[in-house]
Amino acid sequence: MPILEGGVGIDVLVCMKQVPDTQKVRIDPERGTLIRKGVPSITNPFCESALELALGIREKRGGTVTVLTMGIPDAACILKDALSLGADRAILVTGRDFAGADTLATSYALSRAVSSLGGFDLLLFGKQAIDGDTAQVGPEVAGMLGIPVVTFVTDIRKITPGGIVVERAADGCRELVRTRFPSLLTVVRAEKRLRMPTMEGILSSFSREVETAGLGDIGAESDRCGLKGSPTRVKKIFSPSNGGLVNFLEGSVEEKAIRFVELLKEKGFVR
Amino acid sequence: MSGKNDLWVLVERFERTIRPVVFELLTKGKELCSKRDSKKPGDLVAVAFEGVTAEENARLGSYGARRVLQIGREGGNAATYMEEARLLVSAAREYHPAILLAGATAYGRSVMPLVAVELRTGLTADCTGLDIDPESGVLLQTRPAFGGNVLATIECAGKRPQMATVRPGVFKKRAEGKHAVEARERCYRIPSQPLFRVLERTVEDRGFDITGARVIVAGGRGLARSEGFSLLEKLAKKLGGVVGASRGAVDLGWIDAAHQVGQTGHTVTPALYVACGISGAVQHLAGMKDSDTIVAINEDPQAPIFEAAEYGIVGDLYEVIPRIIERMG
Ligand SMILES: Cc1cc2nc3c(=O)[nH]c(=O)nc-3n(C[C@H](O)[C@H](O)[C@H](O)COP(=O)(O)OP(=O)(O)OC[C@H]3O[C@@H](n4cnc5c(N)ncnc54)[C@H](O)[C@@H]3O)c2cc1C
Repeated sequence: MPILEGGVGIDVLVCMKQVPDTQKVRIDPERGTLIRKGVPSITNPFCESALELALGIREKRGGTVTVLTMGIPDAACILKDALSLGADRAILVTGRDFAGADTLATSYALSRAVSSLGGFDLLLFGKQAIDGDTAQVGPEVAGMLGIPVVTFVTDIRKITPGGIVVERAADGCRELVRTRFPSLLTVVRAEKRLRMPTMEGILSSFSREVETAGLGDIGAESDRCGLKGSPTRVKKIFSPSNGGLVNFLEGSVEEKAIRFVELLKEKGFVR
Repeated sequence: MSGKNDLWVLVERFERTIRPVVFELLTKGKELCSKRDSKKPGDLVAVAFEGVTAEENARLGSYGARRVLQIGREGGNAATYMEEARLLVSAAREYHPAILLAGATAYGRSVMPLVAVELRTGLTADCTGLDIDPESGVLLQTRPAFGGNVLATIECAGKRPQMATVRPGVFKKRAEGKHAVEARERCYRIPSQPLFRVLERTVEDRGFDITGARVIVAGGRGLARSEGFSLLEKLAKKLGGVVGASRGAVDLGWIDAAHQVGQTGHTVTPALYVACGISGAVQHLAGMKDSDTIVAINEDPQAPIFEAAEYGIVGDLYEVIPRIIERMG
């Protein structure tokens, strides 16, 4: 349970990402291409943990929770969900200029959006997105903004007027880290699952719209956004081939089991 | 220290000892250097923050480092990865390495993005393959993409350094002889205000370590329920091994993440890997495909796991495994 000391409210920004439910992406066996049609989009689970953490901070300490995403217009869905859970404000950064961005260009656009909104004490990111799994965007945004970043945060221990004490778990160590405001935290999947929306929450969210922002609104240079602003390029995409030829053990279930145990003996795994 | 074509490997420590991934990267780095244009030679350099002992120097050399560059902070120590990132940026601005590699550990994944942003270059996370394009000399960085159903080769042709993180255990390490190499020390001035402070640090007792196991019996969503792992545990015990899992099973909460094998879990190379009710997604394969003998038990003869397996049993694991255990006596 976080220990929170008195003081003024904390203004938190949660950066979120809409991702395809990667468990449901399938490959076309004949053409070797991805079947993305019909794959549902979800909120990145680590971003859900970040949102839950933010809502918890506001409950205990007051302040505001703003949610931000960059994506296609459909990504507004995940922001609407966040509004129905009680987020105060939601901004979707969208437009052609942002398409095809790698992590550097994404981080640039997000950092521009954060600066143009201004005035946050804490920025929360999921530690990584389940579609790309790079874990780079959080630290890169902090780098662009020149603020401290604490990665792999598992819990918030204490909030004081000047800063925050968090717990992080990384590479077999647990650390307690104190950092000042403003700071950026990347959040691992927390034990506490994201709350469910209440009827009241859903109804009251109708009065809040998802705001959209484009290149000009966030004061970004188009050369540093999207594909143009991305130093990395995908050169080729291919299906992994393992080339091996499998030996299927034949016969009844009993015979397969016998053959397997023989194999284990031949290879010296059992006496 | 010349070469604008040097390949740098970041030396990471855990509780003062150099992590094995550093030696894996040096071994790979040596191979990459040998593939590059001989008109633009570049050296393999190990870049470290803390004092490198003579013994460590020789060890880094034996894995292929031609030089050890030790960077420090003027008038103090670098206390956090943020400060180390700043030092690394200063060093990179002075020496202009062509390539910068680090382990895809929590540490590497914290330092490298900060460096990439400052140098405004690209960074590819969690690579499973690295190569040099024979024509352009550019670093080819391969990693699973699009939900891991395919592999993507990524390049960063226009910016330097080309940066990548690589998972521990992906590359094999190979030492040759032992010889001390040139050591150089540089100090840089960075702002003295600490960005954050570590108040307390505990090394977790990692009682369970899957990476060293000789035999792994792994289960996936095909187990259908968490109790299935008790059955696998029985078989694993008989084989003197441990239980592993797919992310599918871990995500369902059937078993702790310490058991997860694959791109976002552990990379393992046991003598025997038995995959039970695991479909064989590339992210899973990325973590176990180099095991000596792979056996797959799966109901579906079309499951991709059979392409990676040496032996296959098509059938219901709940029928097959109890009989195997029985037969083992
Ligand atoms: C970025 C990213 C990173 C990832 N990292 C990892 C990772 O590190 N490790 C990992 O494992 N996955 C990882 N995944 C997930 C991966 O893509 C797959 O979703 C996951 O491996 C599937 O788990 P599974 O094989 O247990 O489940 P499924 O794909 O659902 O397969 C279950 C299998 O069990 C078989 N089966 C069902 N019932 C039985 C029975 N009674 N007897 C025998 N067989 C049966 C089925 O035929 C099927 O083949 C990652 C995904 C992404 C997007």
